[in-house]
Amino acid sequence: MQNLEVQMNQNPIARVESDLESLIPSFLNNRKKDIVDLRAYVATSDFKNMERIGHILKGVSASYGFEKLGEYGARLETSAKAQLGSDCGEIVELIAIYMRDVVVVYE
Amino acid sequence: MRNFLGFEPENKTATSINSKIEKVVSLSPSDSHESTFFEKHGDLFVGEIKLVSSQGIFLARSIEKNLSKLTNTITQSIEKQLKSWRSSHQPSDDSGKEPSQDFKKTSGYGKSVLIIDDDHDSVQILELALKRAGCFVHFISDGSQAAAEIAKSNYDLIVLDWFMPTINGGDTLAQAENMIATSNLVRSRGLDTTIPVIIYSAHEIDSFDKFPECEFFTFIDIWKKQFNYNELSTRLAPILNNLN
Repeated sequence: MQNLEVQMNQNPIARVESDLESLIPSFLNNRKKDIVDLRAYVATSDFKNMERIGHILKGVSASYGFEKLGEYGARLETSAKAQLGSDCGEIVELIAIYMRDVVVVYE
Repeated sequence: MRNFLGFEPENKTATSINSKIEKVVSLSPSDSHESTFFEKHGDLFVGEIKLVSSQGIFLARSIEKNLSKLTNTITQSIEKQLKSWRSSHQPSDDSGKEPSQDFKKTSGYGKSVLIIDDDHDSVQILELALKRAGCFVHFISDGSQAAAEIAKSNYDLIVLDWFMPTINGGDTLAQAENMIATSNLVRSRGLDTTIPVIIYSAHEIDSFDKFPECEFFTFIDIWKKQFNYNELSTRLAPILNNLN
């Protein structure tokens, strides 16, 4: 597991198809809710729900142009399945940082 | 139109019923059909009018138990339900106007599609692609509710998330099969072919190794959820073109 210090040096970019522009506000809002929920699940070691949200992020993020978020979702799903609490916590914080910094570019 | 009277009405009652049926027919979409049922139980009177589109999609239904109310409320209820149905199911090219001739030539124009998925973000992308292809789109997040919907309607295509938290895709189809088999609803509407189903999931394709035997459904494609919008639209077009 990489440390948080070696993460993004610059703002990550999500390249989103312009057809999807109207859907993005709802997508971003749902991810904010995910982060709140995930932090609570980390605190209570609720691996089942962490795995569920990781699975959802893995499935949907790339479709919207947020590939990196999809990768984090896949890693979270795997770590939660293995009940690796520390790894899950780090991934959740990586997701939070990514969502805080991401710049959406419509193409 | 099938008009079933469960009793021999007086002239005045018969006139009232017939004028009511005519009014409902005038409100109905041209491709729909109506079934009616009227019965008298002593002083009580039961009247029911139900609308179903030519695609087997349930449109509206109203029941009244009082003949004097029947003359006013059935048509109001039917009209309200039809307006609601039209606003939520009308294919959209996002212009808000009557669909153009070009739009009517889109691959899925007029096709009805049911999306079954508990993830709203996935549904939104699929819904956008399907509506721009001209489809009527309906989505349900719960497998059991979806099974009931499938059993009472006749969709041209089902897009089914295989792994859902409460009831998975296989169990959803199994429930629908039981409901269809016991109710005969779909068969009574003339369905003589199976309903095409696209399975999709964030899980690896390799995990779909055992599909259940289905009498009323045919699996036509398997999608991994990590599609982008353009790929999705491209992949959808030939599928929609090949629907009956």
